[in-house]
Amino acid sequence: MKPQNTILEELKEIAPTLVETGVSMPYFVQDGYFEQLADSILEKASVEFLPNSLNSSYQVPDTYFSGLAYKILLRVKEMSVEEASLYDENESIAPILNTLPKAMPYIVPANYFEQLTFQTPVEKAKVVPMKKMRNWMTYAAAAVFVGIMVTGSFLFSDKQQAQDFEKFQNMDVAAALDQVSDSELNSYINENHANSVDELTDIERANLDNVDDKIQSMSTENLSEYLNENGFLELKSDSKK
Amino acid sequence: MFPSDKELLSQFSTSSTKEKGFTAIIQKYQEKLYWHIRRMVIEHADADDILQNVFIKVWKGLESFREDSQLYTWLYRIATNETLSFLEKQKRHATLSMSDMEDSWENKIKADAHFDSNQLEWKLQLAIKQLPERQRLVFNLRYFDAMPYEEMSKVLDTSEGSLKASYHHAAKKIEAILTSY
Repeated sequence: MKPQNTILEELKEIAPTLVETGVSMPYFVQDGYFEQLADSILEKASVEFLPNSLNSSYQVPDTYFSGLAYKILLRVKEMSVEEASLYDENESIAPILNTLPKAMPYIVPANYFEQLTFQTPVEKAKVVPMKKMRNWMTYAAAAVFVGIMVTGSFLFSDKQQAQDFEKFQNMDVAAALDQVSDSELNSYINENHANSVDELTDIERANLDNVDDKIQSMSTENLSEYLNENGFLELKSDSKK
Repeated sequence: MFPSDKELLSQFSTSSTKEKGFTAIIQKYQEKLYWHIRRMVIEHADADDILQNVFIKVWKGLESFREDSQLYTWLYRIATNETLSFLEKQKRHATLSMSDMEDSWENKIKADAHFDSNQLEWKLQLAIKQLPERQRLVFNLRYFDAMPYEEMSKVLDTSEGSLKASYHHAAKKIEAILTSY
């Protein structure tokens, strides 16, 4: 190929007017023509030439073209693959089902679905299980019971009595009585209707009379046995000696 | 366009968006579930009662819903169980024989204000009502909702093979009934 300058020099020699006209084209091409050119050629080629070439080397299922329109329709209507599968299934079992309208004949009240609202169940307050409540109450009741028992034991126990008894046992009664005046003793006796010493001695004497009779009637063996069993009396009597 | 089930469940599990998520679940599935129920019970008032119960059960049970199964399948399962127990109660109260029940269904359909015996849709409904209850359920789920057998087996707790056979028998019967009209 000759360089551009050489071509122009040659053209000047042959036809100088052409050089003055220039090389720009007066024709116009549609916008985007070249971008779509490849696709449009392929499209034409597939329509005109591909079926023949396919027929020669590939097999097509017998019912492919009969069901193609329906399958494309499904895709256009954005139907699911499962609906297509159902169509095939119905075709093989009961083709009449594919010819029936699927619209439900039942009427729904106007705006039913728009107005269908649900009152969400109100959240119930947390229920404290009775078991926990019972435990709490059990502890409270136990505490109250223990309190009552402790207080009661202090109030009603004989500890104080025992302490008082011990105190009086160790007390020198004779010395204490010496400190009490006769008038106080008399007034105590009068107020408490206490038996006089004479009355007490009369009773003891009457009892002793009976005791003497009973001792008289007892055998020596019984008496010795009694004394053996109550040896402390001997000790006491010994200590008095 | 409704949000995905995963998104709806996520909304429901967040306390601030719980009601919003639940409302969206209702809006997404209400029509499908309503028609699934109504095809079985025929009357709108009954379908409405059952649908309300279904969504109340959904509200109570959604927190314990295991996401390894599909929400759609789970909802259908609840709706189916509610519908079947409703039909069971109705049978007990009616104390009718099977043939009386079938007549009763037919009368219910014919009592509809819009019933037209010449319309194919009504003929199909009358034919479906002649199927045994279980077969009717399978036929409805497959024919109207195009439910895959795999999912149907989860809804009805039945093997896929048994469901296929059931649909086959139902479709054949309906074809025979329709061609005899």
